[in-house]
Amino acid sequence: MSRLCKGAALVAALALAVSTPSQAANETAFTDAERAAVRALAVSPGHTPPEASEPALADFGKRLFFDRRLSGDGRFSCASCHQPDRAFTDGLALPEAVGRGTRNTPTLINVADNPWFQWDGAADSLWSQMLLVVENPRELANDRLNLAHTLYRNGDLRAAYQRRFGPLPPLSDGERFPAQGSPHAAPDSPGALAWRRMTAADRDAVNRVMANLGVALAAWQRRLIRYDAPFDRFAAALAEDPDPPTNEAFPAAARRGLKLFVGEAQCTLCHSGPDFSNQAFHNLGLPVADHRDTGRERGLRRLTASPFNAAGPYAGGDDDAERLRFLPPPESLRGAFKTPSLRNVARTAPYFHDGRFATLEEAVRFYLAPPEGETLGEREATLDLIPDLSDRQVADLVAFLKTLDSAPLPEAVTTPPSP
Amino acid sequence: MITARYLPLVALLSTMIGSPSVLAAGGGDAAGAVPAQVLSEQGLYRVEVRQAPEPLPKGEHFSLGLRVVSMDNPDTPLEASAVTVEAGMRHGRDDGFAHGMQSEPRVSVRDGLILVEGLYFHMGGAWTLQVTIDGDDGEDQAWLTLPCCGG
Repeated sequence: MSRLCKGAALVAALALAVSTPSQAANETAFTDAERAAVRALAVSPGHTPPEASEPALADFGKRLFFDRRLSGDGRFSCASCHQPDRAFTDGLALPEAVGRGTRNTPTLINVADNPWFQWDGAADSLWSQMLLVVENPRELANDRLNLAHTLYRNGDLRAAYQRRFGPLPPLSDGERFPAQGSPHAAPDSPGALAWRRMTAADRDAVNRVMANLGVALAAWQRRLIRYDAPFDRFAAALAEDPDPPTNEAFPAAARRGLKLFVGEAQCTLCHSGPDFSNQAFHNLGLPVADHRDTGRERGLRRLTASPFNAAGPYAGGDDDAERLRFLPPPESLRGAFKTPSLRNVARTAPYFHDGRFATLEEAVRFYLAPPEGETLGEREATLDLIPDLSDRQVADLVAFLKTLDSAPLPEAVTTPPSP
Repeated sequence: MITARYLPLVALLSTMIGSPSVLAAGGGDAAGAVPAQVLSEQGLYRVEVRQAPEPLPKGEHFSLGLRVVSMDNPDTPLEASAVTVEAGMRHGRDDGFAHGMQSEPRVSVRDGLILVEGLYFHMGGAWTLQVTIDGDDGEDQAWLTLPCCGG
């Protein structure tokens, strides 16, 4: 063997000797930077769900959540799509209520920690997003006057409402308060005309009832907080030890997946913080399935036009009107949708705003080879930072994502109230 | 233990091939500091950062207090009307932003400083504030790298 070949053989042998243990080290031990990145995903030590400040109000909210009388035809409730035993989703690509919805049903677990609500952020408070659902013709297909009347004529609802919010408006006066009506009714429909004919004061009184119902629903949804997934236990162990032991709940594949998640795969650019969401809106360059759904562009227009936003007359003290001063031009976010939380993601299939991906693996692979097709707005170039990943790396990421499922919420929170 | 024996060599090899650190992967120097001042591209103006939260927050609105002066007349700060701002992340690009903010900042004057309100960084890494100055000396642009957010 020539000297050169001997040298090459030595280098090859060294490389072999080095690569195996270094690969093993990279797969299991966490660097300081990785530990810091994992710490940024973990909840603060001692974080516990907030106690309901008004238990009676939260109970009223829970009653409303499960009550089919909130829908226009009395057949659907919030729980029809936000099913407690499916992590408050419905398992469908698109919801089926009064009509077929246009966006995937998001989970409600930890929803109270969101700053914007719905896929397009059309609501800036938990309480105000309720009206978007109630009056959506594909969802609960109700209108606010009909709902106010429903509340008025049903003794159980009326009593619960009045205990907290005081007397309802004089809804028995049919001249002042027609049976049906809403500013969102079809133009020139009887409902739209009825709403317009009401005095401003009476419209305001009905709007106030809607806002109060939203406040009750929000009080209950603040109980749906859970940050106790296997990941959280691993993150706590990792804070103490750079190489904590694996276990059944957080296996070796999940460890490798976590390292990818905070490192090479760049997932934390958007899926950051304890909710695994930067709560921002991104255009992923998805081939268009519904040209009418312009995402955050539409959401911004709806938000600024709504009297129920944080700058409106129905806002509460906790609402943040200041940020409305700095909203971007709607068209700058055409085709952008909110980064969803990844908490409980294994239980909330299908994925993306229109439920186009049935499995976690499909959703992960989308980022590696985006499908071609017409897109809406401008695809965000951040996506170009995502490297190609091997099949094993994809499997590791999926294994990690499966460690984000929390324990079930207490039955007292999720069981429908007795009639 | 074989792993421990090879770790120094692994670290050396890793350094030699320039393995990027996890936190710098977002495309910039996330651990740097807000610059105290920068010169505009053509050297017409100087932008001084007089007020900035330390560290810059992520996921919250914040403000910067700037003082902008002409290099020919450095004792007289420019008015807010001469200044417009835009911010985004380059993610390694030479020109333009890979994306902007999801907020539209406002520029006003407060306590003698040009106050830029409504800045909002939704992603960790190096952000760039583009300051466009249209003063008596002509139009010029200055670029400030703003690290998000506290390492």
